[in-house]
Amino acid sequence: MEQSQLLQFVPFSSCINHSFWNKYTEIKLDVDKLEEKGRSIWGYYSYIESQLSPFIEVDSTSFNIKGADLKGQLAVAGKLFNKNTIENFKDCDKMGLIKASGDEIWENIINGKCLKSPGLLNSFVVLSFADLKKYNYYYWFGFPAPSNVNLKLNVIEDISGKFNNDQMDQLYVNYSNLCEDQKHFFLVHKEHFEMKHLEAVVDLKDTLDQYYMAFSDACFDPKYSGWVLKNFMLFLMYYCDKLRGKQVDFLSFRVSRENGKISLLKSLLIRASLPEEFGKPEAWIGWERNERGKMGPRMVNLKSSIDPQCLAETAVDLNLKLMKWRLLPDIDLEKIKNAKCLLLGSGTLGCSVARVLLGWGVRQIKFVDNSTVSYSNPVRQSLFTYEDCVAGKPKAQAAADNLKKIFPGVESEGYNLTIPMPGHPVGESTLEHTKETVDKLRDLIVESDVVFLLMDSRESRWLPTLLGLVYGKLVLNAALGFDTYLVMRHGVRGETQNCSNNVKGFKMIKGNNLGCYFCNDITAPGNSLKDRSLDQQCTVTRPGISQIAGALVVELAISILQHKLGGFAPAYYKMQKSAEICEDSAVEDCILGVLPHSLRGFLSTFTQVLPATEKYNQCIACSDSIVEAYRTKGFEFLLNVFNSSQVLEDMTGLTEMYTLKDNTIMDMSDSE
Amino acid sequence: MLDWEEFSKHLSQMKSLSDELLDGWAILGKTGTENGAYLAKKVPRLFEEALLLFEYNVVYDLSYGVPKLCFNVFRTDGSMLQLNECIHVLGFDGEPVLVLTQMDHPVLQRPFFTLHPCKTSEFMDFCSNSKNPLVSWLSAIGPTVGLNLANEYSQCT
Repeated sequence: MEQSQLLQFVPFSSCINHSFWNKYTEIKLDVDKLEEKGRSIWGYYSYIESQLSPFIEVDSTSFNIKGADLKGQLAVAGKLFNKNTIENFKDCDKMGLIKASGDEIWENIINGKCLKSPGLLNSFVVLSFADLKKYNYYYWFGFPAPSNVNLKLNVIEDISGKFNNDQMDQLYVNYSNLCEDQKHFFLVHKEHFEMKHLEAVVDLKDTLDQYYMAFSDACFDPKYSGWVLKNFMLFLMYYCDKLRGKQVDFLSFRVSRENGKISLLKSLLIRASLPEEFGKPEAWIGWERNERGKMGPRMVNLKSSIDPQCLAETAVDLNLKLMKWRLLPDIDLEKIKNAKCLLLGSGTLGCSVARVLLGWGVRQIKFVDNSTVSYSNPVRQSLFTYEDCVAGKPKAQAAADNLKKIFPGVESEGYNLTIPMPGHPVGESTLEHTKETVDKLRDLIVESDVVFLLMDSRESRWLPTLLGLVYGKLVLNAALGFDTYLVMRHGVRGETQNCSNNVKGFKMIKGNNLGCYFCNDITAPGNSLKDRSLDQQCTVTRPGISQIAGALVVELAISILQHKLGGFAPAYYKMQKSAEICEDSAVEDCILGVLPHSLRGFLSTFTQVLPATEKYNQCIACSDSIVEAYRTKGFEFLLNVFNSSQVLEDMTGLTEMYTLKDNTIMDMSDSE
Repeated sequence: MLDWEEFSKHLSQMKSLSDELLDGWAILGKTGTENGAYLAKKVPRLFEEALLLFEYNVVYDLSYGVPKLCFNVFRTDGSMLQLNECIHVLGFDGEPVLVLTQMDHPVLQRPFFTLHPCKTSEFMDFCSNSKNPLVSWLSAIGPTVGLNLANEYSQCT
């Protein structure tokens, strides 16, 4: 090595464990609040080999009164200055701050504290500001060292050039017997390797040349020393005036694992000359460069890992992703997540549907209902509590609020609306209000992707059935009897690509030929009374049935969303009793399986059938003449229908067909 | 299956050996209480020129009665890697991730990436000849998530 060279030092960098920020946030909110005066914290560096540049780590234990006791790591006392505003953070005198920290090291040298606790020669300072609304953390680490102290380097070499294996083993045994709090800096006898605590420098004043000045190094680069040697020099200059201007032998202790054995093979002998001039350091340096290599602070956003709401959202998404990774690699979870769902009816079905949608990761759910939570509701309607009844909350609003309590990541809204119904005349005084309601319902439907009909009366389904069809939405319907249910998807309109895959024993109906709730009910009036799965009787039902139907209608919706044809997906209706859809049938199904048109279930026998029916050309809700009337006349047409549902029958030519009066919508009871 | 007593015993044994080897494992949590303690180690690693800190925890899973390996990965600014980033760092890209999931840490009650314990019991039966099945298990499954146990640990199995 050339005589004139100066020894180079590798500075520390900072490494923050996530748990540090958790604790930091907790202390800021609960303890320090607006306090800015500085808090003592611990940092740790390791003297065990890694391929990395040296770093000081902080974690949650950094805030403890006593630093963590971990083998292989040395504690460094530091100070955290947490500013209350970004302005205070920016305007803080950084040079002054690191100088104050350096002056404290200097104090500890001259008052002798460093003799007992050599670790005090190392220190660090953290300047920070936390924007806890946005979870932005600004911070800047400094590792103070005097700016003007240099070492003239004579030799820097592996100690293996100087010592044999036995000697190195002996060195390690002695080293490992040192207390961790003395390992920062110590003395090693050059002949017999006896190790002395740093405070021995005072007594050994005249024989110091018989000792190596030793320190535990965090740096593993064989050409350089770690940062800690800088302050050690300062200490030696102060206490050992005979060493000033002299050559000193340093041992940089670096522990590594060589062939399964702990070894000092990577340790260095550094022979260097201390300066002659000496005094209290005027300037201190050591602010860390940021990730762009500039002298400046760093910022990290921790919203995703500290904000509990984000944690919940991530966990929900991850749970669904596991389904994708493990079972259904082709499932499109984003499509489900982004589906805007409108739930018409916030009763027992609405609650069940909302919960299953939440389970599928749906984030946008709107509720519509016209009543308040009553005392009988909470036991059956899973989103309500007793308190909601006492407060007399509107059901739609209560459902939306409570859904957010279950999962704050959901965007849920409630609308208190009475859906206008055929045969419910609109008086002069309510005309304006009815128009507003129709407009509101239309807007809600237009804004959504999937509309669920979950009301407890039949005629209230008419308007949303028509609007859903006109505006091209997926409409799904669930209706309950005492121990029966009907779950169905409404047919869509428009042209679709060919899907003519016929399966033996099944009739195939394309999605744009499928019927709606009204066509199907009218085309199947022959069902015996006990099989009437609809709300034609009343809302007294077996309590489990709404959970079943609510779950099924969501699963049906999800299957439609995952089908490449969406609402145009064909349905298959079993023609022969023995026919089965098997895996090699050329069925147009989706990754979740087949898409039925409707599901009718009977709890008395615990059975379910999957009928599919074509649209009915004279349907009072979805036939072309009705759609056309709405398109051309709009509200005027609707008003006529509200005033007299006879209009519908006349228009569709049903009037003359009716023989069974009690199967028509006009005879529906108004009560719910 | 491994009961809590056995788990703690093996845990302490591994920790003692780690101390000898200066391998950095520490027992954290409350050692006295059932399922209150766990073994932890931080492993710094360079990835694409950035320092990442892998924090490995060996915890006990009460319902499966087996040890469980969980971990989180941090950047030096304290931000945590998301699962897809972890998968990238661990080199799992494009492979089906069959056992890696996210679960709450039984002691810390915070989400950690976890090797799901559903198959661990079978594996533990396989290690029944080992004097320390915990170490045997960890040395076998650790490498899948970048945790390599030093050969010296074999002396306690």
